[in-house]
Amino acid sequence: MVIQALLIAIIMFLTKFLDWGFFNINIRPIWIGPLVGLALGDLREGILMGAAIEAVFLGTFSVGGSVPSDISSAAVFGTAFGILLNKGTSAAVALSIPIGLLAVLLFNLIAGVIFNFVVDFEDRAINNHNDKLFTAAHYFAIIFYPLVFGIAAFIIMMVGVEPVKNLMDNMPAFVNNALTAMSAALPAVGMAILVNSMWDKQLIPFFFVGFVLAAYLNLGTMPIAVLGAAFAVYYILTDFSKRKNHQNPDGPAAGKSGNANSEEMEDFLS
Amino acid sequence: MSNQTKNLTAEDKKNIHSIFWRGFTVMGEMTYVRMQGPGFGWTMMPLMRKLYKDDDQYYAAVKRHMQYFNTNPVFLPFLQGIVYQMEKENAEKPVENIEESVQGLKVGLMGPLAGLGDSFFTGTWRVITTGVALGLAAKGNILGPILFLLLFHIPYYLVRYYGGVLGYKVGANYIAEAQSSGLLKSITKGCSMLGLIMIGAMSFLNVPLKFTVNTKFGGVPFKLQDTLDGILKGIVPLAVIWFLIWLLRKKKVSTTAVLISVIVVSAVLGGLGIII
Repeated sequence: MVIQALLIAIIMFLTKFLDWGFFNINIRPIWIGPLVGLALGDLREGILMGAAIEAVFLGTFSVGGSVPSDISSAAVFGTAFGILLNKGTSAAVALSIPIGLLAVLLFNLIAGVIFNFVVDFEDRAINNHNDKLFTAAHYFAIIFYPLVFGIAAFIIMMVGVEPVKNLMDNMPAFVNNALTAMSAALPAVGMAILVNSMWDKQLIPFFFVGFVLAAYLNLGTMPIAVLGAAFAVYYILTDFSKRKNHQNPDGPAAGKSGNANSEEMEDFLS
Repeated sequence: MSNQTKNLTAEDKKNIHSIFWRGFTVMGEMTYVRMQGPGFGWTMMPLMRKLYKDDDQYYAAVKRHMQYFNTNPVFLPFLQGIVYQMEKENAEKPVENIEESVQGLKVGLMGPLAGLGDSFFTGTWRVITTGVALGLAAKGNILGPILFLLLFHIPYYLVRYYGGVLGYKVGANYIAEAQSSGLLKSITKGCSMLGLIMIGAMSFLNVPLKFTVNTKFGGVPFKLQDTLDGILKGIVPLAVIWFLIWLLRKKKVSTTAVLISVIVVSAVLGGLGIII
């Protein structure tokens, strides 16, 4: 158990470190699940649970630095408990939700409180013309945030598995149905958040285009993405030349500037 | 522009690599007060040292880059490159109000660039690559997760790196032009369009919500879900999603409140055997 807890702690540290400490990798349950599965000796379950948790968390992402739910905690603990308790993917998903919400508290403690002291320390270092101290504080912050989560993960894995197991074992049968329904309904929240975050009245009809392509033409995501990209490129080019012509509405000159601009845009895109 | 491309000296490349690699730590000390600001200041330190030999000038420069700043990190090197060029001008021939003009440029560009990065990488490209990968991962295939890591991140890091090269080369003027001409806006809108198509598709593919109640009306078996599917396939997830969007947009309900309500309602209905 100590080794497993240690491995989980390392995975937690790494996801946090690669996300914010260094590299800004996109932490997603879809690849955290398999890592946890590998650490606990059941890769296949890890992949399946990672995929199920990903579907729920698809709409969860950091907006301007604030996160509605801590994705890596949700994915790491959801998969770990799911595998260790042998309760299947719906239990993994159901556990990942409250864990993600709780872990945000720890996140807010660090980014909302502790790091303000770090920044204050750095301000004073720069005012005192000591950039080495600034660098030291910066490195401290980079290590501190993943480390806190790693240590928390170790403690939770050491003391948390038995209580959670007892809780799950003593649940009556209808709870299982409730968990399944929950994991079927929660991806809807993600989709709603995504639509809300990209809201643009003019473009909303395209949501239904995508829906019908999937529902009635039985297309997978890849062909739909190709079709959508074709629409999008057409839209960008037309919209941009319209903007340009609107800015220079003087007859033949407008056509000429439209040309110049499309070259300019190719430069920008290349 | 193509002429400028070939004119990067070894020194320039070293500078670009410095901001590119240091830029990876920009989130490391994120706070809700100054966001990525202090991290941004740290990423610029070596280049500021090169530009300003005088200690007072150097620390003044670092200090002005520690102020509030926040953007999608994919365009960070691009902005760092532009900022470097502005500071370089200032170091060669002091610019009046450099503090205001640099901060003005950063604050002016971080919003549109964050919008572009979020709508393309977070809203569109991530959704597409996740969608493709989920199909494989849901069958237990390890290629799914690997595909996601590669498909999402290779373009991400390429844009990040070459954005830095572009920003370093062209300086502030070009991007100001791209923004005022509406190019950024057009691209952002195009990306949102593709994103919405994908979200629409995944609303059908990834929300397996359906009714399980079966009753009889006058001896005729009645399956609610079949009837609903006859009206419009996937009408249940569609209705639920749009109800939630309505809550988020019109009723200004917080995402956490929506999440918790959906958990409670679906758990109750599932426990009663009404839905899956």
